Amino acid sequence: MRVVHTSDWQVGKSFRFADDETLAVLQNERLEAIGRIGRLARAQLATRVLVAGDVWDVAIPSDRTLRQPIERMRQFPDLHWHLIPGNHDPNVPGGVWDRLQRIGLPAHVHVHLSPQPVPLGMDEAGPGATGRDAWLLPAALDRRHAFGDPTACMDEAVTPEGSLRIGLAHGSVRAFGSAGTAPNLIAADRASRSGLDYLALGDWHGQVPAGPLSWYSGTRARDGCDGGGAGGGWVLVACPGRLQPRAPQAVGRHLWRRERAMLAGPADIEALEHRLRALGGDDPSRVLVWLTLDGALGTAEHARYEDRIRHGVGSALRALRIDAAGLALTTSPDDLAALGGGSALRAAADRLAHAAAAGGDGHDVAADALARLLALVRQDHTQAGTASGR
Amino acid sequence: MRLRSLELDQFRKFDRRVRLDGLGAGINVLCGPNEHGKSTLLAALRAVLFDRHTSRGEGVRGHQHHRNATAPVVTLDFEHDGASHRIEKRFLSRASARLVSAGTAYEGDAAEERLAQLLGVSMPTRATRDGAEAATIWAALLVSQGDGQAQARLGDVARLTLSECLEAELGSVTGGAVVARLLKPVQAGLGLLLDARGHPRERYKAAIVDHDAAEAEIRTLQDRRQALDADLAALLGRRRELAAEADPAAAERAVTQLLAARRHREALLGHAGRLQTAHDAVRLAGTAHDDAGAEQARRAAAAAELAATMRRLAELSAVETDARARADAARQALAGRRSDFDRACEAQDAAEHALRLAAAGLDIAERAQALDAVRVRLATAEAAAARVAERTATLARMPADDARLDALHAAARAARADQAALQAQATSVELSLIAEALLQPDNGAPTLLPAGPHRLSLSRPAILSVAGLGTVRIVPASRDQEALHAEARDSARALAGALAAVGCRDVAEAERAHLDRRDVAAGLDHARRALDAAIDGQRTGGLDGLRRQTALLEAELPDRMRAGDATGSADPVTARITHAGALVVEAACRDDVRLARTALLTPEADRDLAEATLRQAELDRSAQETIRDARQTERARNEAAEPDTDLAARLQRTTDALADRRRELAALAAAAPDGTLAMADAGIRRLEEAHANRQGRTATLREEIARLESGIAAEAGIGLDEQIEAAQRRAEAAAALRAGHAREAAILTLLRDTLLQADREARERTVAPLMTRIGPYLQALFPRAELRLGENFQITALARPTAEPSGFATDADDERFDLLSHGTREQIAILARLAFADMLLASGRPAFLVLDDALTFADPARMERMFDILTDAGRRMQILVLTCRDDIAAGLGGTRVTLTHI
Repeated sequence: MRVVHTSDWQVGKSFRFADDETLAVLQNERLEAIGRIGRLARAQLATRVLVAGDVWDVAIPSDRTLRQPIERMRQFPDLHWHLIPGNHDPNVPGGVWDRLQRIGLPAHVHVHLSPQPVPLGMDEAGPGATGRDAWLLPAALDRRHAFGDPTACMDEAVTPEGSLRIGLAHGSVRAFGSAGTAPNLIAADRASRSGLDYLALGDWHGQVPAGPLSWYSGTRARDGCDGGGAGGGWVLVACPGRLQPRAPQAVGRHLWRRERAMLAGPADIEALEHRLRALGGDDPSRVLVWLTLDGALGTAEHARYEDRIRHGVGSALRALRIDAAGLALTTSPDDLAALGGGSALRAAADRLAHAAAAGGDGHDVAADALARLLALVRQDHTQAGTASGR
Repeated sequence: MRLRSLELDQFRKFDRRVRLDGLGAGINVLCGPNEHGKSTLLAALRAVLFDRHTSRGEGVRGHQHHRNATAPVVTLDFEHDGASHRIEKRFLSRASARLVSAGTAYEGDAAEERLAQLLGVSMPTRATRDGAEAATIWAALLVSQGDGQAQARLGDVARLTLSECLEAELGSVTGGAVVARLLKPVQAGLGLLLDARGHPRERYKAAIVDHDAAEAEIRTLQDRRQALDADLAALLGRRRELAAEADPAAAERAVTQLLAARRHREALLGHAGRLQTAHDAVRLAGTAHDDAGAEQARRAAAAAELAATMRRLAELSAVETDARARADAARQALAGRRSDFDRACEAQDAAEHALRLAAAGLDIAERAQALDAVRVRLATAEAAAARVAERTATLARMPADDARLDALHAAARAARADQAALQAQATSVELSLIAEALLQPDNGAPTLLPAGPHRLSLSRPAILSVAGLGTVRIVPASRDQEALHAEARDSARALAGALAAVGCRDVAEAERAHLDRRDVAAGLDHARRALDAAIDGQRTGGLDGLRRQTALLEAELPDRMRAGDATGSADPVTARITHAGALVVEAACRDDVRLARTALLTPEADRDLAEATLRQAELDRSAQETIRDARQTERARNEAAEPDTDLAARLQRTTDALADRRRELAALAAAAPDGTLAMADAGIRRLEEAHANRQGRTATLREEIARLESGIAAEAGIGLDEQIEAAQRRAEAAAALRAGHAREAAILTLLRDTLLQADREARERTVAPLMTRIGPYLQALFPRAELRLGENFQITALARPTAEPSGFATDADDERFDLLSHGTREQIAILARLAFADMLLASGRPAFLVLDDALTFADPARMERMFDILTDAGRRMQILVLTCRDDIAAGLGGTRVTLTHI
């Protein structure tokens, strides 16, 4: 039996760093990926899609947001979609699951809100079929942070002898937990303890193993540049009961990157521009970068950086988030020398440079003011030159 | 640069050539009246130096003589840089310019150009050539009439000139223009963010508003979210409650409980009825038993009461006997005591009678004694009265009383005095008569004088007849002789009258009569006193009173004696003793009576007590007999109704029956079901209410759940969490925008402030040399004052020291230049012009100063100081003062120049 294991769709997620346009694209991408998963399942001859929690990003989405993923799944009536609540969309009274029940679900979309084992049918079709009766053992979260192991019930779950037991749960595996006190903690050896052939987990956005026969699928669409594990944009095509129970498949479209660069001169700027532009190949609109900058630039170089990186590359990529706190703006003696000596202008520049160098409150404002002054002087010279040239 | 001479022809008011000559270095003064042409000279100087000769402008046309309109010509000789120069310009008609400079002649434009070069000004362009001087520093140095009190308005060129001078000193450029250019975009950018008061505006303000709105929206949404959570929790609770309420097993349980409770109540009710019956039986048996017992007890009590009554009757009989005996004894005793008492009373009556008699006897005795005394006194009084009458009569016959004797003595003294007066006036004649002589006084009886010596004292003429010898008439020489004799006669008559009044012949006799009368008066006095003593003064009403008293006593006494049954013989002492004895006897008898009366009381009380006891005993006996009779009757009736034996049998039967009923009741009580009826009722009520409540609650819960579900669905439908996320995203974006604007505003503000400060400091640096130049002049005129310089070298204010302890001027003390007095403004303006000229000279440029009718407002003291200042400046520059005031000309000294017609 082949299943597609996915999780953490978090439909409706809002990206605060993104502008409205980017946000719309990213949110739409979350829905588009569902179609890609359906098509992947068909291509892989998988009949069931296990979604290990966090289908929605918030406990109370709007009706439209609630219905959108259901409508996407409705387009694949040949696939069985098995959903469980996660910590983002726990099964609380009046929550998404209550609302879904009221709305009514397509017959091929199954919601599992209790730990009752569910028969999935005989694993007899497809390559490498085991011929065993397959049962799904769901673990549903009925609150955002449940204390205790939500998969503990799997120990007691009774299935016919010789069945394929496939667990579906949402939570952190103890082995990855910080201090063993986090909520929704799942025993790392849950699969062996409960006699599972496969434990499909959700919550971690990276695609990582969580123990023997236990996997986090990773979110099928990444939502951050610093996601853990092996990153996102993936689903797992799993064959429980087989020797090779899983195969990762990419379904994400966007490339989320965390980049870091040291800028000290024009060459660094050139190199950084080249690196960033190369990330998305011929489609830089797929690329979202969180760029952290260090180093120091003179006013002229800084202007160049602003022009080439912030404005240039920033316009090319889907999103370019820059953290330039570590990038200092320096004033070269040449900059100041160009102002001449003894003039009021030079005195003003010296005063600002002094304030910028002195540190303390407002030194960065002074540095920016100095840069602005030098830029104005350059502009003035340029205009004067133009005027004289004319 | 030094002017040497100026020559004008056909220039304005001058239709002939005039010449100002002899101008020296330092101060030159041209003094002349109004209309003298001083201002015309200044105009000519300006024209020759700065007006292009080719100009036909209005200014140049104004140089023409107003009538003949010929071409004005001006010629100026001056020295500069150690060389002599001469410039001559002819305007309008056949205009020309010729400059001979250091031996070289220049014509036309070349002359103009060379002249401009010498003056340090650029060649005026066609556009600005008219009045070119106005734009240069020279405008500050050539001061027209009426401009003296205004500051020089420096044009760009002039400012440039000054700046160049300053920069030549400072060796730097200020770059002020660049700063001004750079400030423009900064202030423009800042103006987009902040308003004039530094408050955010437009985009910045909008970002703040957006941010605040987003934060507020988040709060609102979160509040709604919390309300939703609360509703969800409430929904969960209500559902749980409804599930519990609607549980069929629970309902079944409730019905069973209710049935059981009702059955239990029935059982309780049945048992209670039986128990009541048993209780009634016990009560009935008890009543019968109690009746029998009570009857028995009543009979026993009646028997006991009868016995007691009989005993009481016996006791009462004894008491009666005793009481009667005691009463009799008391009565006997009382009879004896009463006879004692009567005797005592009689004795007292006798004693009282004796006492009355004794008292009457005493009274009579005392009255008799008083009568005797009165009689004695009356006899004495009568005798005294007789003596008084006799002596009074005697006295009445004796006239020589005290008054008359006093009058006699007075008359005798008067007569003696008159006689003495006569003797004093009398003429004394001593005679020795050998024979007798007869002396015959006038009007007098003759006196015979025997022989022998005589001494005569004659008060009136007298004739002494001596027989034989004749007569001698002797006339005393006294005056008023007659009057004296008359007085003597009167007094003699008075004396005779007085003697007659007392019936005496002479005074001695009168005195003896007087002594006799006194003795008689003394006897009368004695007699009167004796009478008074006898009658005891007025108390007894005098002698008559005494007589009446005596008569009264004599009349009363026999009556008394009769009434008093007394002899009247007893003397008072005896009567008094008898009376006292009677008093004692009477008192003793009274005591006896009191004692006898007291003795009566005891047997009376005994008798009364015994009688009362007897009466009470009789009453008690009657009552006890009534009781006894009643009891005896009752016993007879009882015995007839139910003999005592029958009653005892009945009591035994009822006792047994009561024991049986009690046993039955105890058995029934032991078999009672648990609980009480009230508790059973309460349990049924509780179960019934619980049932009703459950039904009501179920309905309420269903309604509430429906309401909550509808509300939750509505709130959930709009996706509160999603909205919160979106609002937070908007808030973050707005916050970032706001922070960006704030930072931009901070950057631009800092940049603007820094540029302005740097510019201000540079400006202050540049004007410093100018201040240095003005300083000494200013100190000379206004000690310790400071000038404030603003833009374009304009003086903005004067700061003078105040009375502050520091003595230094502060900004607050600044006096705005335009508000200063005319005189002060004029003086300061001249100082500034001097400083400009100093600066020009210091930087090697030409300069001289022309003042046309300046110093018009200075007071004498300031005027003197201005003279000093100008004199000092005159050591460095040429100054031409044009004035109409002789005092200025005289005070200023310097070179006096005149305008001469050629």
